[in-house]
Formats: sequence, structure tokens, C-alpha cells
Amino acid sequence: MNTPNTYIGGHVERVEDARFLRGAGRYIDDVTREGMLHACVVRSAVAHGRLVSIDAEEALAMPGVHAVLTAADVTGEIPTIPFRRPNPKIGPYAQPVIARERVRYFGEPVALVLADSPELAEDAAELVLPEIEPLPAVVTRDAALAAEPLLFPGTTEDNLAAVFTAGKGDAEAAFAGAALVVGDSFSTQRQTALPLETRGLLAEWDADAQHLTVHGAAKLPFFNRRAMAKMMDLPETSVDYVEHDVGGGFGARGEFYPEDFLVALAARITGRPVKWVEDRREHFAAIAHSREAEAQVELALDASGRILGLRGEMFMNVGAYVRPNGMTPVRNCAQFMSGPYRVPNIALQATAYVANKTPAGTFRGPGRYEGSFFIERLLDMAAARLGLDRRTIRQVNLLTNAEMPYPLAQIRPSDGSRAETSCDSGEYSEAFHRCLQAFDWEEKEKLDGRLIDGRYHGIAVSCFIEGGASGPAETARIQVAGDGGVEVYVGSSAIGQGLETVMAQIAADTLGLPMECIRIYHGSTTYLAEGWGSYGSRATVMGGNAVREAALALLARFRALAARRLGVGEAEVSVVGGQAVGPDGAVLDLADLAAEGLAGEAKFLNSDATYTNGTAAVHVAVDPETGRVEVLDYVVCDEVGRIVNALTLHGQVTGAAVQGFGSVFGEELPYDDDGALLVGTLADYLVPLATDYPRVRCLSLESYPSPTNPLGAKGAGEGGIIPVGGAVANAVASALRAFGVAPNHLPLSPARVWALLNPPD
Amino acid sequence: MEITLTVNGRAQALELDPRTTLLDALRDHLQLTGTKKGCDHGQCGACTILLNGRRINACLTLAAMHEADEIATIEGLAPPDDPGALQAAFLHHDGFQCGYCTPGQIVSATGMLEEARAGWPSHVSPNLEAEVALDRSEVAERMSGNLCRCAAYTGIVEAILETAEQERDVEPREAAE
Amino acid sequence: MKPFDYVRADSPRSAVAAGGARARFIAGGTNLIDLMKLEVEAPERLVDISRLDLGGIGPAEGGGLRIGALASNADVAAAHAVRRDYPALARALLSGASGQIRNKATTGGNLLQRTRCPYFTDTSQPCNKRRPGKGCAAIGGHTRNHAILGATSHCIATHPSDMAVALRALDASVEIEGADGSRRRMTVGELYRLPGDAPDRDTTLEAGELITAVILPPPPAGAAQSYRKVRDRASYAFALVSLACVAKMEDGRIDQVALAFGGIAPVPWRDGAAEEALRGENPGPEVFEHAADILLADAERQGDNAFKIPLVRRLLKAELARATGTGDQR
Repeated sequence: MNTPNTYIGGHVERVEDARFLRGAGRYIDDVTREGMLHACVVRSAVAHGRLVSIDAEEALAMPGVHAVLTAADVTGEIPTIPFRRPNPKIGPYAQPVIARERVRYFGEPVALVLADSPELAEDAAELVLPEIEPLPAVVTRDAALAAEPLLFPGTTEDNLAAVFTAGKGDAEAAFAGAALVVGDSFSTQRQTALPLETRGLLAEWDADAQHLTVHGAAKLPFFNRRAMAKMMDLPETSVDYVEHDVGGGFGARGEFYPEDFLVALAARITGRPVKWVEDRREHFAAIAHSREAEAQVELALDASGRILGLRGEMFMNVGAYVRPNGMTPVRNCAQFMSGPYRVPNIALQATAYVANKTPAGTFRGPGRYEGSFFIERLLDMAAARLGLDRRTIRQVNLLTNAEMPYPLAQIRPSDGSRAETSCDSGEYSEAFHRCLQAFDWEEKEKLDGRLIDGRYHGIAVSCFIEGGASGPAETARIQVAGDGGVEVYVGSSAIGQGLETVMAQIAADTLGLPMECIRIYHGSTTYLAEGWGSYGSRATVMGGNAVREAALALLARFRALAARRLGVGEAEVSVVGGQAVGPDGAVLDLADLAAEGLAGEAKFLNSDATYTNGTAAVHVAVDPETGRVEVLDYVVCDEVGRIVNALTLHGQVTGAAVQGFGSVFGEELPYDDDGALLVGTLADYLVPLATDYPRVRCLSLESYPSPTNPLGAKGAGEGGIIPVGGAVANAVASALRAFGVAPNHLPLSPARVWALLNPPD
Repeated sequence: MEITLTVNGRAQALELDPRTTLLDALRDHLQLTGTKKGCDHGQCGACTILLNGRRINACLTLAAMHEADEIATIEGLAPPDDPGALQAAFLHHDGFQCGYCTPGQIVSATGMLEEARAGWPSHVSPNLEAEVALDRSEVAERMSGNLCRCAAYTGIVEAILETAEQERDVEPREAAE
Repeated sequence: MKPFDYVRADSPRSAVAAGGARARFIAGGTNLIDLMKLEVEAPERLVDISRLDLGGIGPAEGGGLRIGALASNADVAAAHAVRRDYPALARALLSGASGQIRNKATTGGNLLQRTRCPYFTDTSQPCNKRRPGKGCAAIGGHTRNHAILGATSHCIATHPSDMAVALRALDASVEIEGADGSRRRMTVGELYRLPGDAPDRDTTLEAGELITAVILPPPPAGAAQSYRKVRDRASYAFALVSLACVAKMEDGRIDQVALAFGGIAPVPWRDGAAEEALRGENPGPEVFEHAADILLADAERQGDNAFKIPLVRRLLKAELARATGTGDQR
């Protein structure tokens, strides 16, 4: 870049933080409107059944209750929620915004109560009595595949929402010529992202202007606006999604959910602002789940440990409907299971089946976490069989920069821009070596498999790639205000990741201005005509480059305006530090030209993914008496192309790693045989606390800028979670090697580990 | 029912349903929205406030029970233009991401440091009767009632430790009771 | 939360007068309000006893310590007399809940907290403790946290209190004010009842009775006290198994011993026969093993809690070895 670079790459403290520290953050439940009604969703307590009737009489008779909306209040067809990545098969599985004749999961919305206060709405909701004739619930894969019963009888012939294949080379031939084939069954458990702030929405309908405003946007406001406009039969310009502070997303929050439509409909029908805030128990049943996957996979290798091929089948329980990005983990798991390794031949099939559980969506590192667990287990199993060091088997297969761009498996059916994709840049062994060095593998290896003070110690290493920079585009507009301040509008959303800071750094550096001059506006459709958002680790790359290009456009405009004002040629004006200097030394500030419309706009286009690569190493101790595994040390090193903000980057990586520990050790959403969700509180769903895990040690490299974008950055918000399952499971296997256990099924809860050590007779 | 709550030094009369939790009274009736609702069951700590100087979960108590009490919320801890030492340390150590748990963390840490000053031991204290020496594991244990889903725990613990050390340097401890 | 009448009591007498089968006393509220939100509890009347003068901690008549029912868990754990004379109690309190909850939860409330069985708190599931006669969803369900001793086909829930386990080992009593103004005392052991066929009743208290204090006998001189808790995460989790141990040696033999277990039964569990088998013996692995055999003779596993049986055995042996100075002193 040809501008002074003072903020990018620095340890810049976040600009968002002042308001958070004073309790002045403004989250959706902090937003109120005069005359607002409060909504409470009545949900099905039956996992599968025929919705016969809904008796709302008693609820409606309560003073302060204004309406009880059901499917009958929706004119015409019940709208279904559109897909983020459509494919030919999933159409019939789209989720209707409210159940009409059939309910398909515990927690599915059947009615919406509107009252003067949240408490009243809740009391009234208890009096709304849906009559539901239960049907047998499909909970397991076997029942789903046997179509006993069909979830969508008369519409579909099976319970298979989609079957993806990931292919490359000739896997059959590779397996035929292999020195070793290792294979096994693996599974990861259903869980959820669990942002600390539950979801919430506040909808306002302006009848005169025929305009709908939905507060509570996150992640992808522009997509949701498009979806809402279509369902409401309004032009897109008549709908706005407005973002406030967002208490965590992690992939689940901000997708279009049934409540988006129901709350908006309620506002339109009643003519009053309507607010709905999810409670925690409801959140567990309503927000997207993820990660319920099984795999039967095999790896073919030559005698030196080089991977020749990868094949097998995967099955994902995607719940009762296909949600907007319900297919993302399914296709990702197949496409990215090969990870950072050179795998010339691949034949994987991933089947998404429906069942009477909460519909699935994404959780940080969707599909990638699952796939990484599968292949990392296979690699350790192969190393043991070949008598190879677990480092060697990775080292010989890690991609080199000379091979870039390195094509990954092709996904079919194609569901968007990433059906074919390639790793962009990087010498993957670099992060590997740096990680092992920081971890002190040689020293720790002395403890591996040993019983010390009643606990078995184990270590393991795991490598990963993280796809980022989801295309196709992001937009930004920058304008100079009358006071000389620079207003930056970007299509990216903030979900707690420090977006404002990162965007301000990039704008300030590009414009050559101090960060204090920059004001960032993001996440609302009111700021820009089009935009995309924050998902798939894209904000820094896509939003960041859009901001950079908009800043460059603004500088060009500044130069042109300054030349005109000074009456000189553009080439004679130099622009430095927010000032234009003429050939005679005359100086113009940005503010001097603000009135003339000093602005720049950009739409950064990019459909090529970035691939951060990295390695994690872990040291665990297993208590054989309780089955509890303690993580004693965890080091992760990633190569991110370009570090914009080391502070927020490390926050993302370590936070993701700790979330990964939660995933591996305990977080689980069990269902009973009737399809009832057995978790409703944070006492049942144990997320990591400050006391649970050691300080994650985190190193970041920027040796190989991504060729896909001028900043050279690679998305890095999810990578921390991807290798955790494989690393921990392999460390547990190594610790318990004397017992020959195969920890192939997550979570490695104390109960599961104990059962591994004490198999039933 | 009619009750008067004294929050951040200011007494205010309210007409409340007896079911109203202290948390809902603060947020919905006094518009003090800095105190957050994360789980409403005492498991996340986002609603931590100080009741007569002690940290509690505002979601697990009824407003009606606190007429005569002094209640302090995040808004009352430090003036807007002058962040306290804890707040500055959280900023410096990147003790959060989304900010949703942050008010609860800061109020909880305020109460926790007071408890440590009073010499209260914790589950991880090796000796019940010795002077409290805060370290990483002591701080983590004492803060285990505050959940951070972004898992910014490293920064949170460091920020609190730094604050504790600063305080110790500035004001010499009073003689142990 | 269901509607209720809210009444503030100004004396124990007025509290019990306002109490009754459909009323609940509220002090700290940390468990009761939680359960009321879940509608597991739906009292018609809440009697606020939090302003009663029952918070003191001081010497008991005739020696020992009197802890007012309203003393907070934090205050009890921090009290010098408790830290010095009843370290098992201080440790038990500090291992429970979170800092925020310990500041609010009271001594009486801690004793009377309800089980954390997830089927008890999920009103969509059948539970005999919540609604007698409806059945038990825990049997055959997720049972990692459930009982191995004292359970019945009606209920396999465990008692969640750490404090009560320590009090049981320390031979504490509770002081009770009855609805008619009468006062009585019973031991913590007598306070709790096994589920039998009426698992909805956790204690032997009559409707409307109010616990006013806990009385600890003078600390056993020269005895070692400890509280160990095994759980699935490092903090803020209920016990899988816990053990309060009070043991005193005399001339190389075990003179006094009290072992109370948490997490394994519907009540804080003590086994007189197991303790008797230890008294007067030379400490050693065989003696400990024998006591464990007695303790666990009737232990029954549910689906997922089989691990508790060997875990209790190991914990008992390790703790006794430590207390008697015959093993690892860590």
C-alpha cells in the first residue's frame, strides 16, 4: 500500500469498548418504543404431530392481551424461509414461518401472543392450548433413513434433504494401490452456538409510508431484508433491518428465523411496535443447532505415510427443516475434510437427513470442525499402524507454497461460488513448526502415555485450514462530514468481533488520518443500498477491502476537487495526511471540501476464498476414576496473510479454541425417544468458565499474504475452533494408549471417557 | 405493589407486580439497562449488581424484597467521563469481545476484590486462615459465576489481577482483622 | 412465574403464622425464585423472612457455634470461628455455587434447596418429586448425577447441598419454630428423609415450620476435618461425589470418625456401620476397604452413574489415608 501504515498490524485497543465498559452498550432488549406490544411465542411441546386446533379464547380474554396470531392470520400460503445456498433438492424442506397443519419439532412456533408487557404475554401464552395429535417422532438416523415415518409425506419420497459429493481424482484406484487403509466410524454431537445475549427483535410498521423497520439485525441484514420484503410483498426499499450492539453470534444469530416474520407481521397487523426477546430455555429449542454428524471414512496411504486417497460417507441430522444455511455444515464437512493436507484423490458423500429435532444451521467452523476431527483421528491411527511419528505423518502431507493454488475437492450439486475452490497461499509447515516449538513437543513427549499422580498424560498435534472471505462482494461508502470527521459506512455487521476497530484502522491508514477522526457505521440496511454482512470469516477481508477501496476513491475525489479549487492540474496536487497541497504550498483540509460532496464508494468483488492455515498442540491429563480430562496446555499457531489487529485476532483465536473445548468436553443437546429436548438451562449445558481451561497460547504469522485481495488478509475468526476436536481426542487416545481406547465419538464428557475405560461386559 | 428502590444513591418509587425480579425492575422500570439478562436463572452472571456492597445475581431476587437496601449497578460504578481502574484494565487487556457479559464481569470483579480485601478465602485457597493472595487461579475461581461466551477469560483474569495489584501498591492493606 | 401474595414477616412468630402448606418462606431466594420461574414451585403466598434478626453467628449455649438461619453462605464461610473450628464446613460452602449466589443464599435455604435432577426442573417431564404419582423420567434417562444409595423406584434424585454434607459429618442440629410457636431441635440427619414412596417430601419438617438456626457442637478437639468434592468442571457445578470427613486418632488407632457423602443419595449420607467398622482400628488399606464394602453393600447403579461406586470407594480410602496420616498427605 502506498499510504502510511500506522494502525494496521498494531496492538490497537478497541474503540467499541468505552460504551461496553460503562454499561452503555445498546442491545436489542435495551431498545424500546412508545406504545410497544410484547410478544411471546407459543411453541409445540410435541416433536411430531398433526396440529388440529388452537384454543386461544382464555388468553384473549385476559386484560392487556391484544391478539393471538396463528397460521390462520397469514393470508395465502404460509411463506417459507429462503435458503442462503439453494440447491435442487432442498426446496420442499424449507421451514414455514409458522406451523399450520403439522408440527415437526419440539419448540416449533404455533402462535404468537401480543400483550402490554412481557410478563402478561408469557402468562397468556400458557393459556393458549394447541391440540396436537402426536405422530411417531423420527429421532435417529436409522428411523430417518428408513422413512419411518416421512416428515413430508406427499411432498417428498424420503427424509433425505440433500446428498452432496466431494470428489477429486480417482479414489478407487488410489485405494486399490495403497500400502495401508485405515478407516473407522466417528461422530460429533448436536450442540449450539449459544451467544450470551439471546435473540430479540423489535418491528415497527409505518402504515402511511408502508414501511417496515426490523431492529435486532445481525450477521446478514441485507439478505434478511430481501427475504422479508418478498414474504411481506413489499419492495425491498420498504424494509429496513437495523443493527444494534450484538451479544455474540458464532454463526447462529442473525439468520432469518420464523420469529423475524411473525414479529413483523404482528407489527403490521396491530399497527404498533412489537418486541420479542427470547428467553434462555426457548433459545435452546429455537435457535439453530449444529454439528450432529456421523462418518464412516477411510484414508489410503503409502508406506511412508503419504496420503493417497480419502473416501467414505457422512450423515448429518439437520433437524426438521432446512434452514437458510442448514446445508453449509454438510457440504463443508465433505469439501474440507482433507484440510491442509495434500489429498490427490477424494470420494466423499455427505447426506443430510431430516428428523424431528430443532433445525440445524451453522456454528463457528461449520462442518470444518467435524471434518477435522475425522481426518485427524485417521492420521493418528495411520501413524500408529505405520510406526510413524505423529508429526511426520502430518509433515509429509502438509501443503507447500509451491503447490499454490491447490485445488480442494469439488462439491456437487453446486450450491454457489465455492463448488470449486483452491487454497490460496502458505507454507503450511511453517505454522506447524512454530507451534510445536512453542509447545515444546520434545519435552512434553516424555510424559505422553504416562500415569502421573493418578492421571494419564497425553499430547497431540492437529493441523487445519479455515476458509474465509465469503464472496461475492461487500460495499462501503465514506464521506467527510462538515466537521471534518470521516464517516465510514460498511455492509459488514458487528457481532462482537471488534469490527469498528478493524474498519477504523483500515480507513485511517488508507486516508492517512488519525483513527479518532473515523466514525464507523455498519450492519443496518439504512446506510447502504446493498451489502452483505459478517459470516464465514469475511468481514476483515471483504469489508476491509471495501473500506480501503472506498477510501482510495475518496482520496481521488479529494485530489480532483482540490485541483479544481486551486486551479491546478490533478497531478500537481499531493495528498498526504488528510490534506491536499498545491504546487505553491497552498493547503486544503478534507473539511474545506466537505460541502462539495467529498465521498467515495466501493463495491469490493471477490469470489475467491482465503485460507488461513494453522496447527494446534495440546497436553491433557485424564483421570481414570472420573473420566474427567483436564487440558494442561494448548498452543495454536495460525498464518493469516496479514494481521490487521493482533489484539482482536488473538481474542478471536483463543475464544474459538475455548469454545472448542466446550464442544469437545460437554456441550450437548440430547433428545429423548419422543423428540423432546432435554436441555433448557445453563446448568444442563455446561459452557466453559474461567476456571475450566488453561491460558490458550496463541501465535500468529503473516508470512504469505493472500493473493485474493489487496490487503492480503485471510479470514481468521473461526480457525481456533476447527482443530480442537481432533487434537483433544488424539491426546486422550495417546494418554490412554495402554487401554487401546478409540475416542471416536464426541463429546469426550467424563461419562463417555469413563465408559471407554470401563466397557460394559 | 408500591415500593421504593435506592439505586446508585437515588431513591425512586415504583408500582410493581410482586413477581418483578430486581433485574426486571432495574431494566424495565428504571431504564438502567447496563445490567444484562443472559439466562435469568443465576447461571451466567450478566445481571450481577451490588446489594449493600455485595455482588449478587439480580435475576434471582425480587424487587419487593429490597426496599431498604443500597443497590449499585454498572452505571453507578464510575462516572461516564472517568472510567475506573477496572474498566481501564479491561480495555487494556482486551477483556471482552461482544460486551454483553462485561457489565456483569466488572460489577462482579468490584465485589470480588472487596471480598478479597476482607480476607475471604476461596475454594482454591490453600489455607483458610491465611491472608488472601490473588493469583490467576484465585481470580478465575472467584469469577466462576460470570460466563463469557466469547471466552475472553484470559484478558478478564489479567485485567482483574492488574487492578488488584495496583490497588495493593497504592493503598497499603489495612491490618488484618 | 405464577402470581402470589407477598407478605413481609417481622418476627419468626409472624412468619410461621403466615406460613402453611401453600406458602413458602423466602430469604435468599436463589433456589426458590429459580424454581418459581420454572413453575416447579408455585406458592400462593411468599412470606419474606429476609428482614428477621436471624443472621447472627456466635457461640451456642453450652459450647459450639450457633449459625442463624439467615446468615449468608458467604458470611458463614468467612466467619473466623468457622474457618478455625469447622474447616470442613467452610470448605463445603466455598466449593458450592458462585460468589454471587453465596452472598445471597442463606443457611436455612441451603439446607432446604431442592434437587438439581434435570427431570425435576423440566415441567414437561414426569417427576414424582414434583408431582407425586406421575412417574420418574430420570429412571432410564440421563443418570450421571443420580443416586446409588437410598433411591427407590419412585425417585433417584440426589440432594444437592454441599453444606448439609459437612453439617451432617459435624453432627449439627437445626432449631425449628413450629406453626404454633413451639420450638424443637433435631439433627441434620433427622431433618432429611429418604424418598420412599413420597419423594415430594425432602424433609421431616411440618408445613409452616421455620428453621431458625443451625447449632454446631463444640469442634472435636484434635480431629482432622476435610471436604472433598469431585465434579465435572472445576467450579460452579454440583458434586458427582463429595465427602466430608472428621477423624481423630488416639495412640495410632482411629478414635473418632464421621464420614458424610454428597451426590450419591437423596440425603447427605452417613453409614453408622461403616464408621463403626473403623473405630478403634489401626488405619490401613484393608480396614478402609472393609468400611467401603459396608458403605457400598447396597449401592445400586442406574444407567450412567456406575462410575460413582468405585469413585466413592477411592475417595473414602484416599480421604481416610490422609486423615489418619497413613497415606498421601497432598
